Amino acid sequence: MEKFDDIKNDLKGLSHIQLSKNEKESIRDALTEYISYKPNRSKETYENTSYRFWLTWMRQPMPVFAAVLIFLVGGGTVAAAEGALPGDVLYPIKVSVNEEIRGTFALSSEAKADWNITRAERRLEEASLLLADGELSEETRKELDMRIENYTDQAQLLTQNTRKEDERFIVLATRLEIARGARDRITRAVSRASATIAGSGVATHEMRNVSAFDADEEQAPESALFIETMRMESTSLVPDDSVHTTALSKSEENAYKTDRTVNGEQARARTQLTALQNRLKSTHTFIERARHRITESSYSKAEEELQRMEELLRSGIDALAQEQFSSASVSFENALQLSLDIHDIVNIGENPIQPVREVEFHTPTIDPIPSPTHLPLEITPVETPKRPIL
Amino acid sequence: MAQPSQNTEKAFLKAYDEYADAIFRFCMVKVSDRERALDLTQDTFTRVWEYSTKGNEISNWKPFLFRTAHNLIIDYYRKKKSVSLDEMEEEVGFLPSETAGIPAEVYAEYNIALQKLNELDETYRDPVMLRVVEGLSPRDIAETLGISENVVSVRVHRGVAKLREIANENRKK
Repeated sequence: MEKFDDIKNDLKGLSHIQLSKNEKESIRDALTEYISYKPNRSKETYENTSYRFWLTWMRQPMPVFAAVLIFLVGGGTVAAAEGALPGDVLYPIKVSVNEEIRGTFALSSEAKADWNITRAERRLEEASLLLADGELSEETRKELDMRIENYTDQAQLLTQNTRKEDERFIVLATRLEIARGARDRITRAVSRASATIAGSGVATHEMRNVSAFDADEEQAPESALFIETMRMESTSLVPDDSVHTTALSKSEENAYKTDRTVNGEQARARTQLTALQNRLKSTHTFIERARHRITESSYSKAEEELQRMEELLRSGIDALAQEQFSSASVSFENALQLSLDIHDIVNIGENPIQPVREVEFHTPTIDPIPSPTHLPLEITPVETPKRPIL
Repeated sequence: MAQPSQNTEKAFLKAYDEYADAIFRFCMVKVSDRERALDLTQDTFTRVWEYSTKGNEISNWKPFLFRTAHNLIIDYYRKKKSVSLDEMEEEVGFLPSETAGIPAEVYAEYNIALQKLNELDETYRDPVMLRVVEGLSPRDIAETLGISENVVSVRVHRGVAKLREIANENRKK
């Protein structure tokens, strides 16, 4: 037998790495719970009860219904349903069949939360596409809003036990927050359109003008843009704390926890930056295209606001460079809000409906489910100057 | 009389009590991130339990657990290609969460040990650690790393020789 007592002695320091008592107990408790949830069976029992797989499916009517439907109507229909929008014949298949089936493959809480957020994003995308076509009725918006609320609430519940400093939690929380932000923007856009319709009486034209802002030519609609940038960022912005290996004193450990929060803020700010950069381009194109139909003063005002957007972008980038993520986030958010005002200037006149709102920054968190009163489900009437569309 | 499933549960939890620290240590040395190592440790035991729920019998828990952990670590690095391994290796020295009570000399000893291990080529690092620190037999290491027993013996022998050589050079200095 090889003798390596000397080397064993050299490496004995490694044995200091061990689980703390709390950690060991915590993992043991989780495993015990897991065992009770998923009991062991002997090989014979396992083989003999494979038919129970089918019984399990029989207990879930939706997937069975889905399977039967796929069999009856063919996979092509199901695939075609993926592009369906509310009001289309295939839309119920998309939501109640395709998505339900995909949902059954999400096993862990995080995967389920992820899938719920994705479903919320899909509803947002549908809302923005309908908005772009001027076909987002109040009824449809409310229905989509209700679904989004349901998905985001479920995602919140599912991530309650995830460690708050975990990078997966930060990404999910950021996605959740952006999805909610996009939902609010759509609500506001519809609200503005409704208010304008009430003021001018040129419903269809105005509605299309509102949507034109987001759907101008081949520009991505607002929320789709958000979602796209969000997806782009979600992989690259994961706080890379796996390289965090510095020895920590107690105070340094606290600082490290702060770093985790900063990483969340950083992810948020960078996501907003990408969204803003895209928004600047689309806003610029929007102003140029609208130039022939607006007054010179409206055009100048819109250009002025666009410059303010660019200034906010620059100051946000500066703040980002100095690692002042919350400050950067406020700048980016204000600039994004300005783009809505530019839209108002072009479509309504020189006086924006509302002044630029100073946004209060808050770190992405998943709090207990808010009561419905906290969520802007209803359209708030907005006072608009009664001006004819130019 | 206890049911077979109850026996498996007992054996599984006993394996956890006995090997959780070793699995955590293995993960920790490989990923140099305490939080990640905790996740990997839990995932290791969860996966092993899942395997046993499908009617599979595990006769030797220790190498099976190490093999599962080893596979999960490989998966982790595949997903995390962007992270420079060299960079991670340079930044060694992550203490357990209850660091406040650990004397400075113990911590220094841990750091020195990790540095020594990291001086070895990756080929030799795992076999040496599993053999010298965790006390696995060459056969169990072979099962863990998916290589032959002979290869394990050769790598342990060369790795240990290399560590001795480094130690001698340091003494001369």
